[in-house]
Amino acid sequence: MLESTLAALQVLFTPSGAAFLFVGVVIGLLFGVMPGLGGPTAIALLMPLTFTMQSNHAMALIGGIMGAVSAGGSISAILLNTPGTAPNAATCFDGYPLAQQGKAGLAIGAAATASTLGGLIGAVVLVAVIPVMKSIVLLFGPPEFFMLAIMGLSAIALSTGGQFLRGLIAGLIGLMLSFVGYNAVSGGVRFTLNIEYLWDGIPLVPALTGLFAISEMIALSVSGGTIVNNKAAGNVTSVIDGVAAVFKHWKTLLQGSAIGTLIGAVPGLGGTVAAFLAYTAAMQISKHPETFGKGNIEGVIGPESANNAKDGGALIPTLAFGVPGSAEMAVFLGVLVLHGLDPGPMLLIEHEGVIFSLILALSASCIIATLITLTFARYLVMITLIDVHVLVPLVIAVSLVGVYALQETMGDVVTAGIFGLLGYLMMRFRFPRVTLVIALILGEIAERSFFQSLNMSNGDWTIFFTRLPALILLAITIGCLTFPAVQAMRKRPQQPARAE
Amino acid sequence: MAAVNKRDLGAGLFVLGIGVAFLLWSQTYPPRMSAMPKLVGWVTIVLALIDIAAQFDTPLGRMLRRIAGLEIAGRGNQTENSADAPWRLLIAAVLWVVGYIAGIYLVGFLAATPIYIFLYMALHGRKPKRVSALTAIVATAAIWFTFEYLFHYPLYPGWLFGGQ
Repeated sequence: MLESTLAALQVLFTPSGAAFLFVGVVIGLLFGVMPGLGGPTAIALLMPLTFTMQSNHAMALIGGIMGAVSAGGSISAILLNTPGTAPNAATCFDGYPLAQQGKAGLAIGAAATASTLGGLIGAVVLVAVIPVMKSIVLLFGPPEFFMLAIMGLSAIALSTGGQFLRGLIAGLIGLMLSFVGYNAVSGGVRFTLNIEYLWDGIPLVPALTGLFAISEMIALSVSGGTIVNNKAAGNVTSVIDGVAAVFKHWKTLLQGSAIGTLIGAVPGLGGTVAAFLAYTAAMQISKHPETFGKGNIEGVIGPESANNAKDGGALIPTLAFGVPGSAEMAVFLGVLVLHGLDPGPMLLIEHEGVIFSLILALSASCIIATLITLTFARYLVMITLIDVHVLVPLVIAVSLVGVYALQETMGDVVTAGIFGLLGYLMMRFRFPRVTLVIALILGEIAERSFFQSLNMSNGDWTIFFTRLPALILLAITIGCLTFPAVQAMRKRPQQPARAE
Repeated sequence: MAAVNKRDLGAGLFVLGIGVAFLLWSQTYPPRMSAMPKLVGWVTIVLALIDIAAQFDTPLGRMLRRIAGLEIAGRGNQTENSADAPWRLLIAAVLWVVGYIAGIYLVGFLAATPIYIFLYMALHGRKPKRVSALTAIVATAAIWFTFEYLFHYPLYPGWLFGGQ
């Protein structure tokens, strides 16, 4: 392992290796910042270009992209309330309110630092678990996937702050939307209104772009002015404060990184689920959960650390079994195959050096992306002072072009528009958008895993309660759901005492 | 018995309608296909009824508002709290987006984008026409350069120019 690491280091620190890494980081940042694009698009775009490269150089380029995308995405999430990539959506909830309060520098500093440290933690975990990858991934069968989805759905109740009932309702609407399209359980299509475009279900990226980018632009268009509410808010705080905040909230960082690595390693869930779970988990351990959604820096640190940590986790099933943990990994799988590197246990034995090149590139790109972000954050935050009547048409245009570029279908553009209106109406009537998004992502996984589990057990429901991993997940779910109630009951008697 | 907030009551009734419609729609599918959707439909109806009941100034309503968190709803950030904006402004904002998407469909991105940006800035934002035109041209050029020239993404040409 040491030999492979040293060999990978030698490749990375050659002029050409470093250049490919730097180019990958810059491309990753650009694709991350631009709403609607993201890692899968960037890797898919560059995949043909890597064909003539050495495998190590290709890994440097792709690793650079993977490590930098989430850092770029956090910038637009914080400054525009527009997640550059889907996993950055959770960063919007507290990053954008911080920007509105004139603390964009603080949020960007924290996001960049948390993203880097999360990425490094994910990479370290990846190196540590490479020898035991197989047994970890094999622990998860359909009952565990179902329980994992239920655990994610239970986070709905926790993530809504003071809007518990409407959060649940929004989650149910998200579930309804997740049922649209082809149903893998029965082999038929549902709720498509005979529209062929909907057979594959509601595409996530256009829906997220609509819910978070377009709806926000509609709101800004209505309110006018600038993103920052007042002139005092225009005083940008130092990004160094954000860096310090991450170390101050080290528990949130470690928790987010652990969630990111774990969820990233579970095929099919991916970074978006990891980021939202990290957000709700950060709320759970925070001393001020009531300030979440209003500009709590922990609400930025949690999801951003999970965002980059998930890459290390997602590489586990991708490399060991050829099972991609996310869309980004699915495209990355194509790069591996293109270079004659067949994923599977033999990959680690025969091409260990290439794998370590990737891990090192991933780690180095996290650091470089953070340095670039921290250096230019002062200039980037000026976006918040632009008149919204200039910003709104530009963001809407770039968002819709980005959405179209993904699949080159006008249906995606229309979907983004419809979800934009839905998102605005949800804001207007105080239905949290986050719960709809979580349910939209997890609905299909929950239903499929549920029926697969029952098929496995010939209809015996006890399958969910007789397997240890499923039981552990169930216990965590129950704990998540009951903890806030218990906490509220413990706090209630203290309130009159304080008043006196 | 008066509703505390008619707008919130309307939202509750709307959700109830969605729940009922979704449940009825679910009935049209085979049992295995509709099991989960039916469950979701029923739960939506129950929660919508609770939401509606919470909007009335009765002991039950007050208790439900306290439990459901409806009394502190709306203390979020500015954009989550844009409930008081006049409908006239909202309709105008939505129409700009709808108009742009319709424009893309008809004449494609490269023609619709500069027209949309110019008109939005000049008419809605009341920016100087020269600034609006310059912004529109620069933004469209940047989009073309990034997506079509640099990354070879063919942008939709518009229905009038052969787009499908």
